[in-house]
Amino acid sequence: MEGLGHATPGTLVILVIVVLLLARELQRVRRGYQHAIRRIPGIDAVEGAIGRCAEIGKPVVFTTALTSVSPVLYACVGVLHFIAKKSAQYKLKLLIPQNQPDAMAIVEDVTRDAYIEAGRGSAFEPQNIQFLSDEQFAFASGYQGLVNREKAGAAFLFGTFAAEALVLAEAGQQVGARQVAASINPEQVAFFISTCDYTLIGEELYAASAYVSREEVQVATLAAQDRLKLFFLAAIVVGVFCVTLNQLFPALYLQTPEKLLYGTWSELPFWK
Amino acid sequence: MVGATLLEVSGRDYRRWLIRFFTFIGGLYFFFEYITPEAKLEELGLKGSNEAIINGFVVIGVMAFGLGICNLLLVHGTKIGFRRPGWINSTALLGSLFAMIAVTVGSWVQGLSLSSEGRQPQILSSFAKRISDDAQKGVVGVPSLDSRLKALSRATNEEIKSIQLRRQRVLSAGFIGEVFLSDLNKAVVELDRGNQLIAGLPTESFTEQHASALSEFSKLSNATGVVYGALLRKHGEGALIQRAYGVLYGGLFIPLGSATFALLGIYIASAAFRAFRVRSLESALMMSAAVLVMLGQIPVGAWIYEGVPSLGRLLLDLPPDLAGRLHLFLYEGLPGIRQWLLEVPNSAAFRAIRVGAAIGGLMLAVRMWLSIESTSFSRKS
Repeated sequence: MEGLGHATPGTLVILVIVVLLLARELQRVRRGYQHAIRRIPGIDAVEGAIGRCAEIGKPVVFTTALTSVSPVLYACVGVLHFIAKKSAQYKLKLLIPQNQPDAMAIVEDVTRDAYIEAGRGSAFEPQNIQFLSDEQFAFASGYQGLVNREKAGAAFLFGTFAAEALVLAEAGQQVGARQVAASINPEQVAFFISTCDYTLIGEELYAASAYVSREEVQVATLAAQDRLKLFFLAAIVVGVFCVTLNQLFPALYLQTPEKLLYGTWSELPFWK
Repeated sequence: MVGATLLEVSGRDYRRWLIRFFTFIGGLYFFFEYITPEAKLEELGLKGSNEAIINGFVVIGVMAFGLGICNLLLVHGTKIGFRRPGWINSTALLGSLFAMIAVTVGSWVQGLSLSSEGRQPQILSSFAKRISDDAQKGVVGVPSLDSRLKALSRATNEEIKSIQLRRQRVLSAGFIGEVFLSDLNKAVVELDRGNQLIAGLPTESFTEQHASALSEFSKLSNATGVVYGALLRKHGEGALIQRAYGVLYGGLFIPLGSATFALLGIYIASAAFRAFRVRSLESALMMSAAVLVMLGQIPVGAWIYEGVPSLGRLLLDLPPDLAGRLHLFLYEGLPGIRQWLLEVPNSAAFRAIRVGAAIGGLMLAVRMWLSIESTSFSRKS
């Protein structure tokens, strides 16, 4: 869809499918349908890492790095809520260095709610949510300093990362912190795999929140996401089939799903 | 805070309701903006207002920076106030923050004042053009030609004095070359000549002579403005506030950022060392791929490969056809393998991750738009 300034009817159809899928899965889950979620070792490791911190009495560090207010942040705060709740229960210091001030407001709200839910609202310290800098490498060096000074026992790196990813992950590695990272940026995944104990790749970040909370809304979103993925997979298979047939039998000239998406409004008969 | 409390009175959470309402309206607007073709948007006259709305969002986003500064003041101010461990670092941080704010604001104010000063000759040029245009069109309700020409001449004299005064200050500062100043001298002489032309004009009625003199003056004044603006910029660069800004930003901030970035070189080596320890089939595969890619990237990789085809023929006694194909494959050698690894398996994996993440993002975006909130991030207290 590169190069299109505005959506085509095809993309509108996809958006409608997304809404319908989500509505259907929500309805199913609310009626009591139990979706099976496969085990993700990286997410299981989150609780283990917090438990380890409780044993050795070291703080937990969670960062959303360069994530601004976006669906990625929404996915990250689901996990943060779980981590904050556990930290509150185990009476652990939870440090949340921040790079984006607008995301910080949301992060603070979610963390406070998690502490209240754990019955330890008074233990919540807003000072532990620290704005370091909105500049990438100033944030990275601030994070390094924080992790080194506090001797973090566990570090969770969830969200959007760029070149600073390895600097952040190495900081945790140097102090021997148990690290779990999750990024939707494939370029950074390799760095995390080589430096962190567990890495969630791409969409696993979106699944993490549903996995730890098992809340109906999040599970329904995950299920709808999987159905949509199946839809796209089918579109890819059909596309490959059409392109192959077009190559073998040019006279057929089958329309590929990509062309259906590219069709503009002006090509629709009723639009004119 | 008071607003939020008022919105939560009588047991109903109006704050949450308002957030949901505005989120939905915002989402709806962008949804329709996205699905409506550009031509239709222009037809409905929404293109201009869309830009204003987007700018509004940017402004709201920038306001969040205030939150960041408040947080810094709260966290580090508390540390300093109670002499907690690391309070010296906090003092350095807040000191740097205030120094940078002061220097940036100072530099901005100075820039504004210099640019306003540099615009004066251009304003004179526009005034001369306006006098000529008004007189040619016979515009009524404007001052007489005589008084306007006198005003222009008076303002030009003042501007020449102001430029000469600035020139003296620049000379005494001593960091701008004579060549630069001689250009300015020539421009001022020319401007003075233009002024003489205007001063010598008859004042009874507007003639061709007026039009020609005013047009000449306009050109000369513009040219002076260009040279004077350049001098002011140069002068501004040498000012103390600009030098302080240069030291803090260009001399400290940027190099410190680069130093942190440079750490990556060492960290990549240590991460690679850990990653390439062969402990499982996966790590063995990863290491093999990495070695091939690295060898393919460097000249020595191609050099190693050059000897292999002849070795293959020598050892295996391959049939000519197969040897030819092998040679073709090996001719491209490791760079070819590297290219294939990056473009085929690597791209496939990247695309899989991207498609999965995009679908997840799309689903969450719809949930955000419709405010289908999970209990994890909805206020319960």
